[in-house]
Amino acid sequence: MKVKVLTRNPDNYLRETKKDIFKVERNYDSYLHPFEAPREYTRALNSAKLDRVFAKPFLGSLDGHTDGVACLAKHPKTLSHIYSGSMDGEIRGWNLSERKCAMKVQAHKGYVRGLCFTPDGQNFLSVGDDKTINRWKCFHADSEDSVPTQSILSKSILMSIAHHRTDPMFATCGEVCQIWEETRSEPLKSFQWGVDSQHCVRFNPVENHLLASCASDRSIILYDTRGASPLRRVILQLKSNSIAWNPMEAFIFTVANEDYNLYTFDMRNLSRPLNVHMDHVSAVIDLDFAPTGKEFVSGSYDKTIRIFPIEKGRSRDVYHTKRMQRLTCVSWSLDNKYILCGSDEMNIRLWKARASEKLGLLSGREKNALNYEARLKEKFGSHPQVKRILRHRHVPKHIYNGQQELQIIKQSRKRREANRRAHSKPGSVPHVPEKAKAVLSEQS
Amino acid sequence: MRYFDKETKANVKPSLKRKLKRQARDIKKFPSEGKSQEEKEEVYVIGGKETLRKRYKFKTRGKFKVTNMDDFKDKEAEEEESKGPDPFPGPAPIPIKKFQRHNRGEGIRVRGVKTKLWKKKWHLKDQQMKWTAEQAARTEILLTESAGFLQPGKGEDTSLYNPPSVPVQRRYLTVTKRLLNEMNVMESVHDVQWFHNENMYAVAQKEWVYVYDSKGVELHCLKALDRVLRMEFLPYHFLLAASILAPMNSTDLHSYPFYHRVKLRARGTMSMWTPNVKEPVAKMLCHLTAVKAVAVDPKGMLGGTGASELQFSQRGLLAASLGNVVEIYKDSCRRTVRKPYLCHRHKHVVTGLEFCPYEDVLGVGHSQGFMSLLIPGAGEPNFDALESNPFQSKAQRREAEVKALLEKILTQQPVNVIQPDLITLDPGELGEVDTPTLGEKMDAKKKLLYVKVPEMNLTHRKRKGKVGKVREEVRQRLIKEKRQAVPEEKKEPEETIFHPLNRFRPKSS
Repeated sequence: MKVKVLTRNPDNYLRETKKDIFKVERNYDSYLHPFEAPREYTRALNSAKLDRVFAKPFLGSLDGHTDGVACLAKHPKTLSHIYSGSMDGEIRGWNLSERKCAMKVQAHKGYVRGLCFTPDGQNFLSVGDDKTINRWKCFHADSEDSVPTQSILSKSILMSIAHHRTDPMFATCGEVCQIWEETRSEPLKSFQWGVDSQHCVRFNPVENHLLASCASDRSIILYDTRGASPLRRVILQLKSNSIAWNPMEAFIFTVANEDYNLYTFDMRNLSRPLNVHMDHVSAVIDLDFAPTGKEFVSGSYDKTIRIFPIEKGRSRDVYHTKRMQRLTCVSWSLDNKYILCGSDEMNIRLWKARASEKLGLLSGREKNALNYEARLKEKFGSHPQVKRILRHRHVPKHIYNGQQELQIIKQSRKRREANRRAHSKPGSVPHVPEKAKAVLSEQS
Repeated sequence: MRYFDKETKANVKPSLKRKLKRQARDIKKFPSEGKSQEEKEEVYVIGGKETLRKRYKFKTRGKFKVTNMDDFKDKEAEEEESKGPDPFPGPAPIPIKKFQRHNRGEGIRVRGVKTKLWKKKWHLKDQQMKWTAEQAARTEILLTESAGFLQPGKGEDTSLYNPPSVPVQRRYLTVTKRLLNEMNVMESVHDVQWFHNENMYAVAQKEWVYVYDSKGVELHCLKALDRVLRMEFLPYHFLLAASILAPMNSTDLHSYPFYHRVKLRARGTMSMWTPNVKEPVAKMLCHLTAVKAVAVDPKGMLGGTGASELQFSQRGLLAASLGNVVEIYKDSCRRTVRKPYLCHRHKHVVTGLEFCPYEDVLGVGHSQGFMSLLIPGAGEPNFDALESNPFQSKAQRREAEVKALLEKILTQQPVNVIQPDLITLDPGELGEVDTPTLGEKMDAKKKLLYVKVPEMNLTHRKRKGKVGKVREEVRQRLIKEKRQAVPEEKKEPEETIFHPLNRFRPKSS
């Protein structure tokens, strides 16, 4: 008769020295792990709660400007460098790792309207209310009376500037949209469609001959630098304040609108937005895409920043502080970790892009644990209790009241429409989808 | 990837069938030595695995000095060519039994999904889940220990084999291996239960339940649990279930009954309790005499009752005792067993049985003391250290305790919180997709503004035709017979308990 009885050699199970990590034997057989679903649910619930406990997104503020911050520009090559222009014509360069002002210069008389970097990151360009386009060397001077390396006086007013992703070419807009070559003092091309002024222009980072601008006649206009005339335009119900291209999907752009919403469009079909992003309770002023192209951040006149996933209609998170006033500009850092915002009370604020994320290096086991928790939250995210905790955000009173008010307005509109439909000839009051309501007309 | 075994060859492609046969032949040529009968069989089922492993060994034995990747590639390609086509292409197959051990269900049915995108998404998710189950099944190769066994030779019978016993003296309290503490509680002890770790245990004494630590220091006295006969600790719920002796001399379960396990008696009935319902959720008449012992197998799917002591081991062996005899049965739940796997006759009357987890040890308490029996194949050879670790250090124990408390399954739901019922008959229900019924869908539509919901009668229609007449008759007859077999319980008058306010009761009752 053959007999074998379980014996365990402790040497196989205990660590050899005190400095080793403990050995952890695993056996994934499911009978050793009873109550899998209820335990996982409890873990998901706990991690959802911990997520809210650790949600401390505010990292710090950069103060120094003596007037409201008008625009922000992030360096294309160095993560720690940003530049900001203020409403009194001053431009400051900041070192984010030290959270200090690295340089300042009185660049324009009046507003600094726009800032952008050249693709090599050596120079940056600024436009202001004094109709000049100034070219500066990065971190070139510490004194206030330093001069730009190049200065172009434009014939028309300038409201915004954007640089081509690779070529020495940039675009400005104001009364007309103009394309400039870096070495020339005259524009290469100018586009005009109607008489209204334009206030925001952005180059497409992928299909880099394309650019889009927002005009004050409520339209969004698309241009091709290779063509002689603008491509197409779409007119919305209200004015769009800012525009941003998706860095990963060349044909998708999002606009920040006066009607408290953001609209994501597919360039190939402008008759209806792909998605409407609602949550702000006042006009949206600026937005910026995450480098992953999956999310974007928006700053609004209601003193909050919101982060939206591109496929969702509602925001994932909302940031606010007591002292932060009307937002003028927002920016998502190129390492996808931080968000910067400038507001009209002269401060630039630095936020984490994911509120409860742990900063700094993570060990492998930490990463695994976080991945596991994220997956659990995804798995049990639709359970009411987990969902409630993950979704709930405390907002200031004026936002809360604003949301209530908006809801009442929407309800009453719906009710009125339904009443009208009920008392009209069938078919005479058609159902118009929410997305189609925003677009007035598309022209080409 | 295809899953197959001997039974389901019908589902396997004919070409694969041929391959299977060939692989089986190959394995017969090289029978692995020094392995138990069971494992050999398993290898046969696996098909090409054993041969594959051999092939890999052969291939990687030589040392390569790689100077240029292209050279290397060429060499490898030449080698490949010289060998001819790979006889077992693709990853090694997994036996269906192993796969099913890690499979979490039948997967997602994509047919009902409306849009193409979501069909694809769900399909991908399904694939992912299959992949994880597959990977988990593959990790079994990493398990270090194999289970104990008792392999009879020709003409030998295991039931005649007397398991070696390790006698340990016990007067009041001991554990199987090393005496942690010993004390005289100066009253009768009915039951002892460990809590979530080895630092605390509960003792049901004559009057109340006491909690002691491992050194024997009294931590609590649970006066809420008085005159307790049996106890059970639920480690994932952190609940102590106790059965008490009711005043009317009939045994009953009370206070914290326990979940997914079955318990006993009152004239041969077995009741199943859950912590969130006061009444038993199921009752079954198992024996015509009183049920003395109930055991549930570690998977929680099977249970046994008997008129003696019963205990299931981790690997499904059933230990039963009657008088001074302890018998161990193998596979007793799947088929009728005529002979015990092991049998042990002791000098004294056996009063308690308990298998030691992760060991091949059965602890037996008898009228004169305590002893341990070695039962090969009783314990699970490979433990999961994150679940329970016999080699736990102090720091690990503390961490595990905190984690276990954090993951405690709530039995009572907090006020004003919508939470799913965490205690259900099928604990996996929580992870499944919740599909609303037609009625729920209608109710949701009714809540919308200005949406007319068509009137619908959602009550069940009556079944057409008759229920099988013969079957019904048989059922009625069986019920009648059982009723006759069980004598009616005599209700004793409630006045036996004296209460000053009883005089105000109506006299008629």
